[in-house]
Amino acid sequence: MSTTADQIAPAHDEHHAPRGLLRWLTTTNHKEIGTLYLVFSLTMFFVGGTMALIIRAELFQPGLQIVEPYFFNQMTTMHALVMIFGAVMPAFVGLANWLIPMMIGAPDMALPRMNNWSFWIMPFAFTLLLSTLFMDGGGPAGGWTLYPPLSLQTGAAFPFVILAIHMMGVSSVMGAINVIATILNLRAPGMTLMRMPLFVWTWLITAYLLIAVMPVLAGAVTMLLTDKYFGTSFFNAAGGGDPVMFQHIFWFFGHPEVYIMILPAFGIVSQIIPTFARKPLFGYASMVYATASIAFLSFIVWGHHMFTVGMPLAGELFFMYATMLIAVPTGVKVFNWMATMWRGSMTFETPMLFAVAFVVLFTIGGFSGLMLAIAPADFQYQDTYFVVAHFHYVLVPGAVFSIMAATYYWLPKWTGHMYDEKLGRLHFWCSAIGVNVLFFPQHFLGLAGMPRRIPDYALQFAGFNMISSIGAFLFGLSQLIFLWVVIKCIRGGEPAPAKPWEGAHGLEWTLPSPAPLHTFQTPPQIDPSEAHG
Amino acid sequence: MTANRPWRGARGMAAVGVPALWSSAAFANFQLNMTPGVTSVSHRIYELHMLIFWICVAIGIVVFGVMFWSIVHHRKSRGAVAAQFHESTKVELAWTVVPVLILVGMAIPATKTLVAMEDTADADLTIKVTGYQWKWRYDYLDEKVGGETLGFYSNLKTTPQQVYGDAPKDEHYLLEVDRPLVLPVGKKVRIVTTAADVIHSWWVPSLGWKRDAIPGFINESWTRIEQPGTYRGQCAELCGKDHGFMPIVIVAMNEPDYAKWLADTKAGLLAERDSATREWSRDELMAKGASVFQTCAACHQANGQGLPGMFPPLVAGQPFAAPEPLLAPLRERGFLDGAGNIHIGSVTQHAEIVMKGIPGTPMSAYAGQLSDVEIAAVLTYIRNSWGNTLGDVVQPAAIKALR
Amino acid sequence: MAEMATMTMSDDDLRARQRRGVRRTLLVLVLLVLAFYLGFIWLAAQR
Repeated sequence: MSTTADQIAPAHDEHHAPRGLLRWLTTTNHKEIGTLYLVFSLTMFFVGGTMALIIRAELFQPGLQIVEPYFFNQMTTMHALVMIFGAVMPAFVGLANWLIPMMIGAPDMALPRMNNWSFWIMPFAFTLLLSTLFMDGGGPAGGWTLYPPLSLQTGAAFPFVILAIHMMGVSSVMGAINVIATILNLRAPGMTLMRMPLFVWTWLITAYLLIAVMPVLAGAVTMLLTDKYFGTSFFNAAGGGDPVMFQHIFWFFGHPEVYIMILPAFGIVSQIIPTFARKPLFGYASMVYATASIAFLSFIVWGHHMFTVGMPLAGELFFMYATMLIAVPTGVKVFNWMATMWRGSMTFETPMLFAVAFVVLFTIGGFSGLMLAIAPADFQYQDTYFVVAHFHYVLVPGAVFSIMAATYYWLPKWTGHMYDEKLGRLHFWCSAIGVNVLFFPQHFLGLAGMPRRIPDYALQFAGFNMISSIGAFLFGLSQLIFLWVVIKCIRGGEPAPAKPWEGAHGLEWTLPSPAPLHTFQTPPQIDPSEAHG
Repeated sequence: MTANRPWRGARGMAAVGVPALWSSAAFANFQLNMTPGVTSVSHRIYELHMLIFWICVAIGIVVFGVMFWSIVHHRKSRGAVAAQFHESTKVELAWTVVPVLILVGMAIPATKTLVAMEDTADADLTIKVTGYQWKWRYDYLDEKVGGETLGFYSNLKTTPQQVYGDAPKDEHYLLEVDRPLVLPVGKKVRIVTTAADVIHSWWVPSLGWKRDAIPGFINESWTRIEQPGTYRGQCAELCGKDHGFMPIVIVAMNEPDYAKWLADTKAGLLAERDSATREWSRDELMAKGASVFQTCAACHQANGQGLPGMFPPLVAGQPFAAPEPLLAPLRERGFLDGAGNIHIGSVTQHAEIVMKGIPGTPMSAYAGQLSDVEIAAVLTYIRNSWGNTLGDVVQPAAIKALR
Repeated sequence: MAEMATMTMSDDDLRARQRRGVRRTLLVLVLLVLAFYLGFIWLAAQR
């Protein structure tokens, strides 16, 4: 267990730290690894975004103009895998790496070498995954859900996809173990659990979800592999198996996975809104309990992804009621954010703009989620663009906006410079308008009867598809502004003070900007009035 | 649907022109909401949908109203001074309990509708719906024709020319089939869904529901259509390459029209079966084969060139690079020469592949899907097209003998 | 409160205590991961 020794006396590696590429390859520093994760995530965001634009370009008008259906299916499948496992999850792990040790007064993550490893698996996993696009028979085209028997029809790419998913899973699990070990053991004296910032709390709960479900996904894809190459019949009806069982196992992973991508976002927004409202977070304790309840409920609602597979009535009723219940803790969170803003003294710098947009647009995604929970109505909504609109509302102006808010909020701490506020606001408004033009019409498409994952559509869907595609290009291109703001901020700008935001609270703001490589080597004194902002 | 490359290239891009843009916009009718449908169940689902929608709108107005009021009034620039309250047990309890009550109010009608949908008892007739890559088959389990169950396949009727922009798209582009499912109005129809290869999902919005078609399993649903008409839908579960090209069309008829349709269809199927015993001319077989080949073209492509690494070409002398598990069965059956090029084997071997399929590959068994005439025709067509010059004329009787 | 006890600890004692804690957490979590992975395959195989 020598890995833990590093953090006990981390100062020694300052003297012989390698330079250049090797420095990044061998780093065990939580801030450098955090940066690696964030850069990787941004890269994947653009890769996955390009795929999305290929999809939207093909759907700009009826007929096949740009790609063939099989390639279209590869794009929808890859877009999902890249965005979920390559963009959103690594972004949150990057933020966790940067922020959790600084927020709880720890010198580094608990397992720094494992930390290095869990990052460096990712580039290999994604090189492997993306390389399948060039293999005989193309990349995976059966949807990111990998439902058999369809996914078993994948060509030479199949075992490579499975291996890539295994590698991503190992990376996530190691990241999660690290987060839990850090939060449970390395808090500075006096930083009790109920004094932790909400971002730390939501990540602690997220990490437990990861520990519980990533192995389940690994198990599911292992069984797919043995079904295809080793003659087992887990999911093959002809051999006594059951293709629906895969869906049960997959969504037992898949639903908590959805919350893995939103709980840290809740944490981020709960840090940002109090800062810019200059008022403490309303209902800290109920926020913690609500997060824990959402995490618990996420394990018993997987069946709502499968209302149409033909479950017994009792099963459908159970999953419907359980799913509706999720609205309660989620509602508590939204009401608490609302109450935090109420009678505050608000300013609207870019992080706050993104956070407010998050609350509004995530809530819209929540409403469509509530509608989807109603099993009889779901028989109409299931597998249509209504579902596509729903999950993009919670993932793009939800998870992705929160990551952008976090970037703007902590960028001064990371780089030591203030970002360009004007460009930041321009980025926000382009993104906020683009994302709604892109996804709002998809609600109408779904209700009017357009199935998801189709490369071509009937003429009655032409109007809204064209609008949606225009929104897609507006949203996609405005992310170049984001890239430019970040690069500009890294290269220079107005020097940032230790606490650039008037209303901010928390240990990270007691450190100078940019935060030095090694911080809190002696634990800080916790001022209870400063705790959790 | 056909070409063997991912990108459509310059010709495809050129099709994204201004004129095309206008012509498609002219068809667009910005439908905003779910259809109320034509069954009692679909009406109930529509009402449920609207009820929950309006509840969400009401909650949204309250929450966003409060938020925006405070965004406007509680700004630092307007001199707002931050209050310091940060909890209130009463308020927090209220916004936990009130949503629970609203949810109970939603759950009651939802439960009632769900229970009604599950009741498949006392059906007047039963239709078995089977999903195939990429078409549907409908079997009328209560109707016999010549000792067998009445059934037929329902294929997409839209032409590739329309899809690729070489012909104008007609009104029901992608929602038209060669043989629709015909149902009587006012009768309780039990619909059992299953699939032959991968999971599909059978969905006609006007009926109010979709149901997954799962290989090896049977799902039961029911419907009672209230008014005659044509109702269109699509496969709703990703099922591979041509998932977007397997529509569903239901024609609902009054009882006398339905009875007449049933009689005509039975007579037509009997005549089709009788034709299998006579001698067919080469031209007849080639013409029939070209239309049957549409089924094969989904994978092997309209020009018989296949897709590298996945679907072998059907043209002698063409190279086929693919993983060994795909090559070995071809070699064993005499359809791959030593140099790795395609070789067209004997008629018997050829018929065996079509009829029995190649286990472990996407090539499925067509003995059950195609009639003797159709198999004979398509074999004749393949063996005499795209430069294949075997000259064989395969007779339906020969196929019958192989069964 | 056990957490409060750490307030008066020396730095060395605190680090040693943390090191023990990290080891324990790591062990428990790795076992959990294995249990979920193998457990679900085992469950699926029971059908």
